[in-house]
Amino acid sequence: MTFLELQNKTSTFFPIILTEKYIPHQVRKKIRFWSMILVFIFLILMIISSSQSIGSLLGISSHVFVFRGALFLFLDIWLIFYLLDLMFFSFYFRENPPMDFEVAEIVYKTNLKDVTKGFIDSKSGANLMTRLGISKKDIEDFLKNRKNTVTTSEYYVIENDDDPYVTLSEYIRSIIHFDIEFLKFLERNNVNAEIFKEATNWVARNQRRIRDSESWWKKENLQRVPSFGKKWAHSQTEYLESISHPVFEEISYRNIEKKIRLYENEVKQIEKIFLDEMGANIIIVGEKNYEALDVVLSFGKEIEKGTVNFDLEEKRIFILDSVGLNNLINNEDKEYVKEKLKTIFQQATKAGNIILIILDLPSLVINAHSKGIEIADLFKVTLDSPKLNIIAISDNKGFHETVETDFDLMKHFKKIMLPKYGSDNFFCFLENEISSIEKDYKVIFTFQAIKFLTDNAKSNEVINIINRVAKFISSKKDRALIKKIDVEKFIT
Amino acid sequence: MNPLLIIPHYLSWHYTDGILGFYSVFKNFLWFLWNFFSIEALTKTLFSSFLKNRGFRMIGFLIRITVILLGLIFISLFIILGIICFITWLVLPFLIFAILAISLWALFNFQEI
Repeated sequence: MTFLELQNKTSTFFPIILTEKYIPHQVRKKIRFWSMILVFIFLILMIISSSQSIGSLLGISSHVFVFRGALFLFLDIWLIFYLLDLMFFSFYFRENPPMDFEVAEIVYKTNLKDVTKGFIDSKSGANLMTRLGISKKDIEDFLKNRKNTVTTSEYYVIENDDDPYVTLSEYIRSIIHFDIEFLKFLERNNVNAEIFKEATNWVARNQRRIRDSESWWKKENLQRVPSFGKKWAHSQTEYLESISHPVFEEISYRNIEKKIRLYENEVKQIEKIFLDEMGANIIIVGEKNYEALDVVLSFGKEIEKGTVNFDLEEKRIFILDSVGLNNLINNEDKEYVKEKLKTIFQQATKAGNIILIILDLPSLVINAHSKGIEIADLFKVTLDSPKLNIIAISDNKGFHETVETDFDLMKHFKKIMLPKYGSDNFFCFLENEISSIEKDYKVIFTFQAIKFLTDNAKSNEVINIINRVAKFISSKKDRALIKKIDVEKFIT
Repeated sequence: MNPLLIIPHYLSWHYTDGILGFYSVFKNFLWFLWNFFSIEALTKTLFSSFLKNRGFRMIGFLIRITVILLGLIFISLFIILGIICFITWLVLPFLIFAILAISLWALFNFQEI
């Protein structure tokens, strides 16, 4: 997409670009906050001064009309800025926009002769440069001393996909494609194209997340509020409990809270699958079984907290006891096994809100097979039932060797493959943590600092180190930016 | 560019996308209340046993029916509130100017309003 085409499409956001130009969102938020405080102050003063005895005692009874006027004035100010923010969010989250709002804002303010400066001068640009640890002075020197600029007629957006929607990441990354001098400047500051790309994604995701969390009236945010009464909508499960146990009795469940964010995407995938299809079954495949189980435990924790979708809030997770289940299968009387399982599953189905977990599906398949039983047949009632969900767990090896080749079984399952939790995934998981730590200690981590940590520190120590570094830097009070060199000291 | 241009753009939004947005948020909250009070789930299990004890069936019924009724009362009140808010929304731009005028008048004339 050319710059001219982008420019034409920014008109979609014109009212809020205009509003942002004169009264930015952050300013509006502050004005709203302080005007509401003043509303309360004048309300209290008005009530006090209206009271004959207290008002006379304090000598403010004659000011009652002033307080009343001020109360209405600040209420009006609050209302005006609240409505402007409603308009802002309405445009920001509008359906099928041609681009991210941040792109429209940059394009609108960019001088036709200099695309790079238009970006650097924007809020997103300033944010990205800070995250890359590049100082304002270096940026000023670069802008002053460079020989060439990229004009809007030379620039176009190199899109990553067929989707014509232009993201902030695509827009920014296209700049370094055309502006070689800017790329060299970045490289002099130890920022190569890869770091630039990853940091850009981080900044773009951060901005989106902040806006998402502010729009509390959206369905996605409302559905995370724990409901009232779902816990009372349960029915009997005593037969089921004879060969299974509730998820909260699992030992590692107590410590799962710390890992929930690592499995955020997988939990969302589970939610989506269950919401799209009642009675869907899932197989979670991880490098190790316990990783896949952690995803289930995270999902269980989210249900307990009531932070899943309303439709899943009443779900109860039961983990089938591997030993008990295998012992049952080992019974010589196959009819007894089938009847026993049928009774258990019928009760679970009747309850209507059960999710059954099969730990280590490959072992169960192998064991059942050796006894001449097909798991798909044994679980047929449950696998087909729209009222009962199954989540099976498998490691990579077992999945590929045993389960994947069993087409009768696989057709009942939707697959979730866990990624290798390398530094990239870990970085995404850390984003939320970093935001809250930065807010608490009033510091900012550069991208390189976090990247160095995720690449070099043990995963269970990273949060701890981030906290310690943030605490240390915030105590120094002479700066707020935390660079790679600062975290290096804490690792060595 | 004149900052006062915000006003016509705002008014245009207020009476078009603003109204659609109002309706959408209203629907979200109705959906939220319906689910917050678990009306559907409690209705389905109205006569089920309670707290894993078959003997508490009657207590379970009473608690569930109370929550359902409470939810329906809140939903009814919210619908009434929504209608009032919608009417207010239609006159809100004028109301803002009216409140502004009244407050300034009260502040500078120093007389009872």
